[in-house]
Amino acid sequence: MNIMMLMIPMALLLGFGFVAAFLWAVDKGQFEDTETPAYRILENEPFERKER
Amino acid sequence: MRASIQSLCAYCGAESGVARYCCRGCESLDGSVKSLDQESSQYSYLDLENIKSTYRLTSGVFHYRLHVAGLHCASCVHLIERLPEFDSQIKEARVDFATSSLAIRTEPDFSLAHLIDLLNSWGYGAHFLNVDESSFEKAKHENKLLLKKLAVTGACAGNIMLFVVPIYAGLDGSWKTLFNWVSFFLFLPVVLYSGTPFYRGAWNSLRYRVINVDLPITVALLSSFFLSTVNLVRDEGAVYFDSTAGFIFLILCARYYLKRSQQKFLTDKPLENIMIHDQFRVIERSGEKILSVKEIKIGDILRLRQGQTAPVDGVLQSAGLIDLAVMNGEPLPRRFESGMKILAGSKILSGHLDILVTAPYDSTYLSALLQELRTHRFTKSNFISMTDKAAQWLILTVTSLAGLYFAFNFQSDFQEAFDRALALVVLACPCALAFGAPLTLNLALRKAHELGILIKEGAALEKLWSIQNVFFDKTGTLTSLSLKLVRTQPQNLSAETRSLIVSLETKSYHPIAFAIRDHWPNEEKLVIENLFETPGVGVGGAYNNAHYELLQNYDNSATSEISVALNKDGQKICSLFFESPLDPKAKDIVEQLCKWKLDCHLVSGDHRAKAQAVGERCGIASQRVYGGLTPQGKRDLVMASSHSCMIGDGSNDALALQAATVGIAVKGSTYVNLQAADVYFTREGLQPLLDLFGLARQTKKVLIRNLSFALIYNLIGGTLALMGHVDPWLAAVLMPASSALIITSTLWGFR
Repeated sequence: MNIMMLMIPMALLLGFGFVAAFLWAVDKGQFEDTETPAYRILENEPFERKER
Repeated sequence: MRASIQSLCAYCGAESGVARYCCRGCESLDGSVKSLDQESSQYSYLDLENIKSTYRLTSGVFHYRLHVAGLHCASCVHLIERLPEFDSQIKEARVDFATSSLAIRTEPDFSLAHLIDLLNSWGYGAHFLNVDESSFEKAKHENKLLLKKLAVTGACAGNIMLFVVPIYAGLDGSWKTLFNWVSFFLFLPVVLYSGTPFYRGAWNSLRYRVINVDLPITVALLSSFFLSTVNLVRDEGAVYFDSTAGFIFLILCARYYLKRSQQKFLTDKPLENIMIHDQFRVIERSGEKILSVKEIKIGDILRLRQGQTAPVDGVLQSAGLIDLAVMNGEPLPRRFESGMKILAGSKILSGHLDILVTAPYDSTYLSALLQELRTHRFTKSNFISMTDKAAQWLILTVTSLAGLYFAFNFQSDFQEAFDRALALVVLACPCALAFGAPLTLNLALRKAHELGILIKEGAALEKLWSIQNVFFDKTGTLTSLSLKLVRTQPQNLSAETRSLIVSLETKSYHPIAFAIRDHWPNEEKLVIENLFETPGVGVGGAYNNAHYELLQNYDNSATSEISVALNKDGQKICSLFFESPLDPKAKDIVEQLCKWKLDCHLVSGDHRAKAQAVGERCGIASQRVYGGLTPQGKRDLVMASSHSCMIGDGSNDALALQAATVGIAVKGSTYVNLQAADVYFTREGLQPLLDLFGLARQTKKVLIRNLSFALIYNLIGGTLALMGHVDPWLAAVLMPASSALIITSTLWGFR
């Protein structure tokens, strides 16, 4: 049963690793604008600028 | 039938009506982007250093922020983000679709005018925002903080639930104690970090003696923590860490979403006060100087161009036509003579006018009005939302029940009585209030947005339930601001007379001229010699050796019509009659409101007879029609009746809008009104008014249903708790189950 003493901290560590990653992402501003990137990704062909 | 005339955009495939492309962005991307002719731009003033510096952002990566009107689809985003390819001065462009804004990073000598011209040539309306970057950053910071708390609570709640599952499955002994202690440590971040917004709310609630929903949440959170910890230490009794953490997580979710949708509205609001950011020409001995509003001083000579709004009070140096619609709601401009005083907010209709500044912007009536609105914004409401009322009721009942139970039973078994009383407090979950209400309001605000109604805060919807009196403004609300030619006398005019009238009015900016041009768009233009316009009187000129005049009649102000006579050498040939057309829906809307037992009133700054005539046509009883009112008069009328709702558009309605229980600004309202109103329409006409009342009713239904569910749940849960039948297992099932019920009921209500 002593393996539990290793498993519990490991599980918590893993879980809170992801929380830390999320907090980092929030700080980086990844959730500030959740609408525009959905439009941005639709771009599929390279845009050629017409000669004037 | 609608589908048959709808076609799809040739570039992005979105619905495009009858056109080939849905928007200019798609047209530009599919074909060629028009090159810009390099003529001098009307926006060139933007590049003056003192104007430019007012828009430059002081912090952050980006240098300027713009509002871009007409963002429509993915192509718009692509095209605008490619700005650096079209303007080498722009290093980066970033679109925020939700708020229709664009942030740009630029070279130092970047031309603002060029960018506006470029965007205009693509078909987007654009203007620079003078964003208060600190409030912008603050909102961003608050969002981040709430999101972090949400993440921490979610992770802790999830992990606690994993650790209590073995206990519910029958785990006992030292492992049970260990797992409970792990739960305890996982619960600590929830109590110490995530709970802080609730503590602050509860503290304010105690300090100002107004019970709000944060108080029962705090009581439930802290008492659950306290009870569970005590039980954990003495190693017997119930532990509620799991259900409480889950409950806090749900509340934070609901609050985060409500906040996001309210902020979306805030940035949708036109941040721009055109006048404040306009540029003004000041005449000095050495020549002209361009200044912004705040730099204009007493004694300056200000040259205003046609269509510009006076930013200051001043004395006219020449005669001209002044439109006072913004200030008093009158549709017809008035002629002002040289030497007369005009007030800030008046619009210049004829040519260039010089005024001698007598009061800078800060001491004008307009500025005072804005100031008054600003200071009263926070004192306006002593309104207690239904949620807070229910919270009061809940907290009083629950604490007194728990107290009574404890008082009667502590002598027989102190421990058990304490346990059960506290279990009642923990279990009396204010979930219908804590996240049922924010969720409901959030969905209602979103739905309103789709209907073209912007609501500043959810409380406005609740206030609408109690409305008994509806006050309409006349000009611009029930009737349109422009005039319409309704009849002529004699009834049929010859083609020549029509041509003559149109030709006489070709160069005029008077509303009557616009009405004539709209009515007869295709008449042949005759060459009129010596064409002249006398502001406030009419136009005249010579044709075929005869002198013609088109003069306005002033003696019939008692009727609702405005008339103009065409004279040939002083002889009257015919008369034209004009009216402000009534909103086509006005009558139906008044009828519907009457059906809902609401009293409709009409308040107008215009003549009483004109107001009376409009009231009659809308079906508003004549004793409820008030004419000739000043802005203060309107406010007093609105204030005199409780539960009032005011609908208006001009600055002369602003005070009334603010005084009313709910103030509604219609589309096309002045900036002042947008500040004063609780609700404003982005769709033309009065139809949104009916939608708004309908939505308020729907919201009420959902909120009441949620409260009834909560009541039943609390009755059952409370009884069980006092009888001692509630163990953590039951709480862990009951609390999420009731939450799920509330969420389902809310979503169902707005399906």
